[in-house]
Amino acid sequence: MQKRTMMLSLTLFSFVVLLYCCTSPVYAAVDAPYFTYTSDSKGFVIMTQAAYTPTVQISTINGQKLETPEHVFVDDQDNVYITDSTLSKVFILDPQYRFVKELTNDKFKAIKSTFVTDQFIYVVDTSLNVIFVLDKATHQLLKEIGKPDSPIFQEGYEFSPTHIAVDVRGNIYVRSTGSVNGLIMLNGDGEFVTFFGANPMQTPLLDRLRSFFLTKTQQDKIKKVLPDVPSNIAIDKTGFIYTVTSSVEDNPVKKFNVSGKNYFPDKMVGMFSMESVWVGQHHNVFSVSSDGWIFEYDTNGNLLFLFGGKDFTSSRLGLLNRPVALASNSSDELIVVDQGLKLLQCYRPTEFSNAVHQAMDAYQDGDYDKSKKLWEYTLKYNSLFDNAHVGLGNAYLREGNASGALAEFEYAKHNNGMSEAFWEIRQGWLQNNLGVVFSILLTLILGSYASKWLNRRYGYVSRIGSKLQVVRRVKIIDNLLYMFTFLRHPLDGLYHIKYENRVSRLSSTVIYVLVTILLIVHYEYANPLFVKKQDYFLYTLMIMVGLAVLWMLSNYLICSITDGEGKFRDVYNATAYSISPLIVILPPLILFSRGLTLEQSVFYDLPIQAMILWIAFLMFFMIKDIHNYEAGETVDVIFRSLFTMLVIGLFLFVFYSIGSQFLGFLHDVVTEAGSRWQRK
Amino acid sequence: MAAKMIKYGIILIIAVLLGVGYWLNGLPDVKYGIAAPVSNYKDITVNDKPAGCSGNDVKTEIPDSFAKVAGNDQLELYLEEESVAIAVKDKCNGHTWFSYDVSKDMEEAGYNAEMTAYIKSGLSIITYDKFTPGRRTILGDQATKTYQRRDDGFIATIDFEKAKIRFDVVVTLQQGDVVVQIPRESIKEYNANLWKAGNEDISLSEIIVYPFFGSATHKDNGYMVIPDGAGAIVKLDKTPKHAAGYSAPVYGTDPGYEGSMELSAKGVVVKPEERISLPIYGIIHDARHAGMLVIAESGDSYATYNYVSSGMQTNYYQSYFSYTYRKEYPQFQSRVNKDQLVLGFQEKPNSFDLVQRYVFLRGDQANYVGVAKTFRDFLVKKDGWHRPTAPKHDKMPMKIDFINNEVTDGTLGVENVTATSYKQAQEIVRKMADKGFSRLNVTFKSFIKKDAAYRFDVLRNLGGKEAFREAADYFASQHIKFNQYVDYSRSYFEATPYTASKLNRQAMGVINENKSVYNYLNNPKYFKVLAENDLKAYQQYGIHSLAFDGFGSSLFTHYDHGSIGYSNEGMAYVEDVLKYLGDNGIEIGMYLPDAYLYKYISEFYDTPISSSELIFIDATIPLVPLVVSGYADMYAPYMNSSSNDTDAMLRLIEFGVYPSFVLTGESTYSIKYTASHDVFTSELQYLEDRIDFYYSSASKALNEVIGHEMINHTILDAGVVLVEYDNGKKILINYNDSEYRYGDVKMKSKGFVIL
Repeated sequence: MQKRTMMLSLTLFSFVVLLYCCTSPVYAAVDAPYFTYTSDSKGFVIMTQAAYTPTVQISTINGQKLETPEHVFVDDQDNVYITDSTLSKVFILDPQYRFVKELTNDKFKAIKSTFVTDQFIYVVDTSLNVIFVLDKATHQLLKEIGKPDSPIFQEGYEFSPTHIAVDVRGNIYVRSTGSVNGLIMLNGDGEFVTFFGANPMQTPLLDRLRSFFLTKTQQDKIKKVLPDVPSNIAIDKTGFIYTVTSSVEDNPVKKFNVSGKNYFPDKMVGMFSMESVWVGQHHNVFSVSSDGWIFEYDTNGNLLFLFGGKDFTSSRLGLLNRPVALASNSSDELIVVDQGLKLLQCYRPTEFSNAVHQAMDAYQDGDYDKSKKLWEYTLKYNSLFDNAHVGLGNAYLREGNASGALAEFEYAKHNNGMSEAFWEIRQGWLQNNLGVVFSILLTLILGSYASKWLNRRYGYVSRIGSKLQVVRRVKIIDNLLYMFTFLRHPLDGLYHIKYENRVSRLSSTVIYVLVTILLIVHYEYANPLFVKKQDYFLYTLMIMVGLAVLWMLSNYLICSITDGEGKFRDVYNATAYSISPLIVILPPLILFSRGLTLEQSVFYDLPIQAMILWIAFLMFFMIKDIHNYEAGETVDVIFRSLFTMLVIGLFLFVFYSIGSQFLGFLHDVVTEAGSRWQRK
Repeated sequence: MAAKMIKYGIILIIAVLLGVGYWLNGLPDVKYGIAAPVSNYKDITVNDKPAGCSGNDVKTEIPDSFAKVAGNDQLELYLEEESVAIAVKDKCNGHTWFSYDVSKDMEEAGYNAEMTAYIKSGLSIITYDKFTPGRRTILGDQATKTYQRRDDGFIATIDFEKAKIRFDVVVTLQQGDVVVQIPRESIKEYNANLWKAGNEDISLSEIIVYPFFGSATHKDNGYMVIPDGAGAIVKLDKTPKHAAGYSAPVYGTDPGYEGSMELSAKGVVVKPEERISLPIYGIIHDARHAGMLVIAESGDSYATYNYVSSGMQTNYYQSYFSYTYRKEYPQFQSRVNKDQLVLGFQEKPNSFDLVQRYVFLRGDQANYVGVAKTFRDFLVKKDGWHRPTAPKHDKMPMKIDFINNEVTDGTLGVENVTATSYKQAQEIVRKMADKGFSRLNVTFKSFIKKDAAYRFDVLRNLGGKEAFREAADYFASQHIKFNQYVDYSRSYFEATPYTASKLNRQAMGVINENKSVYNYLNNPKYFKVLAENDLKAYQQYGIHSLAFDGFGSSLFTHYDHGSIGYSNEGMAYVEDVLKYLGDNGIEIGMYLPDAYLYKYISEFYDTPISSSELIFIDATIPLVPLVVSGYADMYAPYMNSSSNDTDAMLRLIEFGVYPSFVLTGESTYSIKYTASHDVFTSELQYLEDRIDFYYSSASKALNEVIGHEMINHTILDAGVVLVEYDNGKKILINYNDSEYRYGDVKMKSKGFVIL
């Protein structure tokens, strides 16, 4: 009995094999054999739940093993078209991947890809450099589109089509091998219209510098740098053309409108050798790299999912060897052509990625309620999913829950959202507390008038002032308070510092320390909308301090050989007092920034810029007056100091490299000697 | 001037003293050296019950070139002297196992001389000819063989004269088992000029033991049992589904031989394969009639499991172990230029006695359940592994790990990140208990900044001593099992004084692929030092149970002050520390332990519930759960990251594994830039529904079989499985999207039924 069941299941199994497929594990994989990544709002790649799980592999269709599968295309009815160049056939499968028909033609020589519209099937032949157009219903060959008659092609510009895309008006966008001018756009009759969507030229900096010095003849002699040629194309229903370029890492996928403007960012999460591009059902874009990584981007080019990778040591279901093309159907199932393994690998979306897609759709359609529920659902699987928090934040904002929105936006570090939510909160607070605000303002104004009046009568300000003079007897406090006098009368101040020893090294050191602390406080507590957080501020701070020390040193050195009168002590002290605007401006600005939104960034930026100008002005006069230079001399000294900084910096770098090598060498010698000694 | 000199002199001396002091202080003075356990294979016999074997005398054609060398109630051993090939006749089922297919003339079958020699030779070796590895076979190399007969088998001294490598192979019958042994002291590389300049330098790399023993072109009712992850089977079909090979080191890769590894710029990695944690494989020629379990009994940490499908090299499906004695490693010659390297070799081959045991399975035992259960019997006999006398739980438990503390790069350096304070953990547990999750098993996990590792310390930012004690007391009062997570095997991000050295003397840095971070593996000699340092604190804070991570993937060959430490010594060190803690009343749970540690653990965490999904397998099977079931509680990997809850829940029921989650009291964003960045959802508010789903669904089935042993597992149909327990309960599981009928029982899609 058991044997019979086994035989029966074997027969059934072989039947299935004959039909279409070769792998069906006894039960579905619980876990995908790859990690899945997404990107956060800052563009960093982070891990996430599996978005797709591998399902079937198709290596045999209608009893024929795939030889060199090149391309897969899924039409609007979910029929699958698989191009095999060695077999010179296009296999057509129905939406359940069952064999329907194979397209062959005596004229096919080395077919590479297909494109299917409602009426036509376009088949590209790379050997004949021809696009065959077949009727979709009858599969009859209607026409062949070859090299256009346009002069540019007659003069020798190559027409070697490999992939095409056809828009609703029947215009054909051709990806042609070596076409540095970009895609070739033909009209429905195969006449040349224009070039489209070329990659920008990327000349290395060194070459650009070199060409500056070369004559035209010399320039012509050296090898021309040509722009990268796109490797594949796709088109969406609204007419956007997508290209992928395998020789570009930063923005391999581009989304062009009809006028050739790229809507995808210049910096996206990509890789070299991305080969194929496909537009999904949710304005999402798929791409696959020949290293086996599958990318999914949202409509703005942000990475939604990234998974896969090449398996060098074993063969696991779902990991690819040399993928060349991919496509998806209306249920978001992915079909990837793996030329290395000679098969098609299919993937099914998980509940998590389905929710993400639906939430994106609902949000695009303006159904915020639905999107909110779906985003909440996705958080159960990945609560670090920034897109979900942004989506939820927007939904809360529309509900009028600004503080909820702010929390969500803060998670995702979404500046615009945070600003908007904070604006709402501030508005609400101001509305509720307008009375209090006005009363406080009124009290302050009245208070100041009253104080002035009372002072006129009793003169207590001067009395308190004279009492406070006691405090100024403490030298360090007096020196520090001198800062305000210095800022009001900088030229006098510099004179006093230089000739009267008005301040001490101690007070200057205190100012340096205060400035350092303030910079840290500013980094930590100023409104995060305006201050970019890196992970490790200490490093930045150390560079700043290092540069300041280097500046002081080189400036002193230059001044001492250019008849500068100032001593090092004077430079040290005067510099400290010249950067003291930081102490005056930063604390209130930090407080004030907490109450600003992005729209009022000018109220943050302006004081910062004013402060920098102020410091620059003070520094200039510090150098001029301390060393007793003319204005022209001062400019000269500043440039020389900067140059000296560069030289010292280079020297330190070389010293560091050699020094660390030397120390390493010493360490090696000691360890080696030690271990030999121990072995003895 | 002189005063100035004295001033600077004093400063210099102080600096040097401080430096030396730091250097001395940083290095605990522990001498490397531990006796690797001597194999007690002679004392163990797995098949020791010869009941009903004598009557079954089926005639099998054994060629004349094979001569009988030993026999007992159960087995007969035959030897072909020319090739050291063997045949074993199992008297109990009449099946004869050959070390190559004697029914075929290999040359007629189209194999070239070299391949024929490989197929026929009992043993082959891989040697390095200078730097190039190559295979040498007994027949191909015309190795000389000298035999000594014994009552229970034979000793063959095999001398590969061309390579000047000699060793003894001892093949003996031990009642129903066959034991193949290669004593380490018999291995001689007798080229006096080896490693001297100008020499040919042929050195031993691997020994391959009977690579075609039990191989088959096809068997209608047969399959291979592969120890990958949870376990997998490959049917011995006429045409293999995929002509592919698979090779994986037992207990994981030995990083001691690796060069420096680098993370990809984007931090994306290909998921590592599942680790082989059982040193076994099985070959079933005829399910319910004849099968074989092969155990790498000694030398397991240097064993590599190999599967070759028919159609790859030959027409035979093969499973075999090869044993590594030496491997090349990159010896860098430049600090800055990574490409500037030579290949280095250790002087002496790895030091272990090779013992490989064949246990023959008959009747109902001859299937993958038999493979697992027989191996379990082996562990019971070898290690004295015993089953708990009384069930620990009355209901299904669930494991909750809390990430308490992590570290990250802060504004002014490395900062502690509070992920879950002690109080928050206590509150979460209270909340969960209120919701009906009654049998919780709670673990605290803290990254300790000064150790750069997950160790134990009570941290002030988590609430300090008071809060810790309060939480521990609360758990004790509620009978909630409480463990502390510790990992003595590694540090994160940076090397420490405990870090071991690779053979090329670089720090033992490895990429933790699951987390995309750097880890540095500790020298095993420090394991006990770390435990001794911590023991007092454990006792002080009432920690009676530790959840150990890392020991599962910390076996390696390494350089230690002029000598080489071997991975089998590493195993001894791990056992040493576990014994020490056990003696001091500490209960041990472990994340994915290797088989040799089963005897020490009461709880098995991260139980593999999937295989690597290799494309050629026919099914993933619960090989590890079948071995462990009834002997230790098994908990799943964190279900937080599961993307398919329904299937995963069914898998837990099928494998008899309890659910497990990782939680934080703060937002998951708090650990985004820490070593736990692979956890992407950890707040109870988001996970509550999913936890409830797993707990309520899985407990319906597993409550019925709590504390009982899974005694059978059958794949009834594609996606339909039946498991049986020793209390008579059966659970039927349907993974399919459609209903399934089993006799009179109707089963919902994606559902289960208890029979």
